[in-house]
Amino acid sequence: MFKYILKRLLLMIPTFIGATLLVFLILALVPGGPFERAVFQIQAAQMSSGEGGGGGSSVEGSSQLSPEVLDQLQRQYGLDKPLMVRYLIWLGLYPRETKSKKVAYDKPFRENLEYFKTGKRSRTYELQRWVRVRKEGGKDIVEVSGVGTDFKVDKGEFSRFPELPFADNIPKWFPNEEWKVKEVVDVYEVKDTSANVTKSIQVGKDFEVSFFVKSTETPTIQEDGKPEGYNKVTWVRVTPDNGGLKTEEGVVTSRISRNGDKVSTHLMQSDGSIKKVKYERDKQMYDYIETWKPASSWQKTVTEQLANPTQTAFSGIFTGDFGTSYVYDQPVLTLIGERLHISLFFGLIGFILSYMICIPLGIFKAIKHGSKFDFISSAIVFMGYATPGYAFGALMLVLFGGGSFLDIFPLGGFHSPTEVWEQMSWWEKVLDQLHHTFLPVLSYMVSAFATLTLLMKNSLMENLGQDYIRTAYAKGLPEKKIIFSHAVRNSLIPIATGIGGLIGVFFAGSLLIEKVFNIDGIALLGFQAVVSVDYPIFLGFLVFSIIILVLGNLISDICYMLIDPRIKLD
Amino acid sequence: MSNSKNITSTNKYQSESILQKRVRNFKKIKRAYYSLLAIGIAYFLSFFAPLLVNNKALVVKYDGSYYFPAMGDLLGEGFVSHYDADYFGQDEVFGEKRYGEPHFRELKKQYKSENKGNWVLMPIYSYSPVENLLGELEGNPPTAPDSKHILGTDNRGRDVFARVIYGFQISISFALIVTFLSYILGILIGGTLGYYGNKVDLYGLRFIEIFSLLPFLFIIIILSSFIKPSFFTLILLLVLLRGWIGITYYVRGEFFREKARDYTAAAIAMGASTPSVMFKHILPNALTSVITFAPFALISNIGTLIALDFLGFGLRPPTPSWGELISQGVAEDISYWWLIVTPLFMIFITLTTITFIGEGVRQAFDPREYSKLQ
Repeated sequence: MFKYILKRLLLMIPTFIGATLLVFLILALVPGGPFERAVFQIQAAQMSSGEGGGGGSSVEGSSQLSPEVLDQLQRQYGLDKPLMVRYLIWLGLYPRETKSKKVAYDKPFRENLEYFKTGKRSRTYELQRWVRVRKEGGKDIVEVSGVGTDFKVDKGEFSRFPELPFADNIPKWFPNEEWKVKEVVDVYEVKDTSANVTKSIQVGKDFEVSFFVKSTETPTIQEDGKPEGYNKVTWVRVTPDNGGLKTEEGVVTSRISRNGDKVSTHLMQSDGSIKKVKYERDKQMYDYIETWKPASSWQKTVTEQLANPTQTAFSGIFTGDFGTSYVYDQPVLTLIGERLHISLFFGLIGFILSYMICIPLGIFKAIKHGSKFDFISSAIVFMGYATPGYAFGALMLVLFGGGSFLDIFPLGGFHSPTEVWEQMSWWEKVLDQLHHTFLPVLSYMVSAFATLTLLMKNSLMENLGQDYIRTAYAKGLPEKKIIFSHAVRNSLIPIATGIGGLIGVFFAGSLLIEKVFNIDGIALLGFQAVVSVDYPIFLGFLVFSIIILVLGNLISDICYMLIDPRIKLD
Repeated sequence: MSNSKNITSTNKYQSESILQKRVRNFKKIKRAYYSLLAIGIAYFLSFFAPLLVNNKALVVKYDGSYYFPAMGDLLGEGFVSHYDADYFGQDEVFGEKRYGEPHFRELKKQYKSENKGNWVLMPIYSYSPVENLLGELEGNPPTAPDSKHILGTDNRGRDVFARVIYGFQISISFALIVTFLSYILGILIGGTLGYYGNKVDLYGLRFIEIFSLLPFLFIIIILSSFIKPSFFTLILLLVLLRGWIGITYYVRGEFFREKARDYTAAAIAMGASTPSVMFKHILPNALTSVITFAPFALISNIGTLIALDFLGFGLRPPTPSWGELISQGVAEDISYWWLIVTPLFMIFITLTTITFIGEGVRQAFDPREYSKLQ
């Protein structure tokens, strides 16, 4: 038995990886993910603040997010790494960059180690230390100071730490292994001697290309006799070239127009004709430049070198790090933990009640097969099967939720609002909870009811026709004993196999009911995460639901074994 | 050919085929049989809904000629020529100039008052499911049921009765196609796994297991946010992401069992090709037990469509849909009871009927007489 369970648990790992990888792929390939959403929000903010100088057309400038901002965003969403690496990082099998900084040599910075609250007003303090990168004999060395607090703490356990002095006053620096210098970034100043334009560009290991605007003109161009708001932009492209940099210039004259929902880009070709192309949000204006001409008027000088000390750690699903929600800005595990008990509460009650009612009902129906009771209860059970649980819930709300008819039950929620809930006595809390629980649990049960009852009935009927029952009757056993200790036990086997599936239904599949009753459970959290492209939460939810489903299957099989000693699974 | 046909029909001593026996069994189960008749007739009639529930006139007589605007909805746009309002002499509706499509209900009143021998024959229920009635409603939508709109209007001022009637046809058609395609895919995959067994089966099963773990409602929502699925893409998504899985398991099991039978060995020995063995010999035998849960698959597919519509990720608006009405009912004020009760009633009647059919089919295919000693 133990061996069997162990084997099953090990088999879960490839299944788990397969399922999560599949979802990971889908999320990565579907456009409109969190990265695009963030880009769009920044663009929208620029538009509304008038930045990026649109002039006549409101979309103008929206596609002019600077490459640096895009690069930073990509890093933030981890898109600067290949898909498989991102997946491994998420699992916790590949080191994640936990802290990363770009600093000049011999310029210390403060590293936050821990937050704590203390004092009368419970102010937030930080435990910090200084970190600096030094060059010694051509090698980069990271050194740290001792640990101190950001402000003086008088009382409590943290008072043993001194206030961290200024970096100049640090008496002793210690070499540190946690920080590693990942790369060294050269900061170039690119300067156009003729136009007096200066731009600073950071060239690191991964540097491929950088674009910036040299000049913008608004020429008057006639299209269909109407003067149109075109922008003639001179772009500069900087690419690495034999350890140095290469600068090129290109010109694009364009206008973005909006006609209802249709946004299009008008491009002026070199011969003066206008080409209209579909507007693409993630296409930058410089992507339309056809010819880049080498521009030698640019001076390229290295002004400074920045080191990039980085801390990495294995931190992912396997180490219990589910990431941080983009929307709530809280750890996913906390968010799910806050809601898990709500889903479990409804699921568990519905689950237990279903079994407690369906099994006796099924037995009774089997014994009374063909009677009026059997016929009527079957009809009712079928009707229950034909009603989706959440739709039934909606109907109950209409009838008893105080809209048009009776006002018996609350409209939803896990319990009364917190302000009211806090004021209640223990007994009132119990009543309030029951009051809020009744309708959702009823909805949970409606659909599972039919399957379970009929399964129990049919299974018992089949067993009652078997020879061993005939034998039991023949040898004169009382009917009660025959039915309950012989037939029922055997007919529970198919019910037991259903337990696992139902666990999944009750714990992970209750989104619609949670939505109708406004219950803040994990399924609703997952749904909201999908709608607001908050993928860390969705992936966290996925992990939980997969684990619940897989464990459910395992529980089925174990129940199977416990009820039927003939079955040996290993 | 005609000769052999003659023999079968006249020879009353020939034993009935298994299928005939099953049909006879099915007909004996009255609840199921009448359910099948009822839903069959309702579905057939639903194709003529444009002639029964529509805001376009069945017949317009104007200046001595006859026009049939509603036929255009039934047969498709190309079959009936389209005329604008001014063609029929309708200039103003509710004090505003009318462009495009005539307002036939007002046209009817107009012709009556003019009394020039022109007339309009409207369908029995003269509202369309997508017609916005904001201009003529008294009070703000959603309005409660009254004599004009027997089941009220929804939050965009569309007639609820018309919407649930059209919703019936869409739901059933949708679920039928999804079920059919799921069966084809499930049979192909399940048959392959069951027939070849061994490694194919082992890896195939792992793959299916992985697939069945995905929260498919969420995946559809993620995908539909950028595909913006039409009727048929939504069908494909449902089939590919979930529909085939259950059927595959069943067909696989059946193929396993049937492959070990003697007739399969005989067919292989006689040199039948693999596809022929799989689909000509094994499939008919494997199919019977799978067929019995087609009605239940239909129910679950209707349920999925309603759920997706309810969440707002189903068929594109303004497609008439039951789930969308329920979501309106829940989202707005719960006091708009007709927005919940009406679609729920339709769902309930439809699904109960199909459940009865399903239970009947199951009994007819598996007429186990339960014996119990007394």
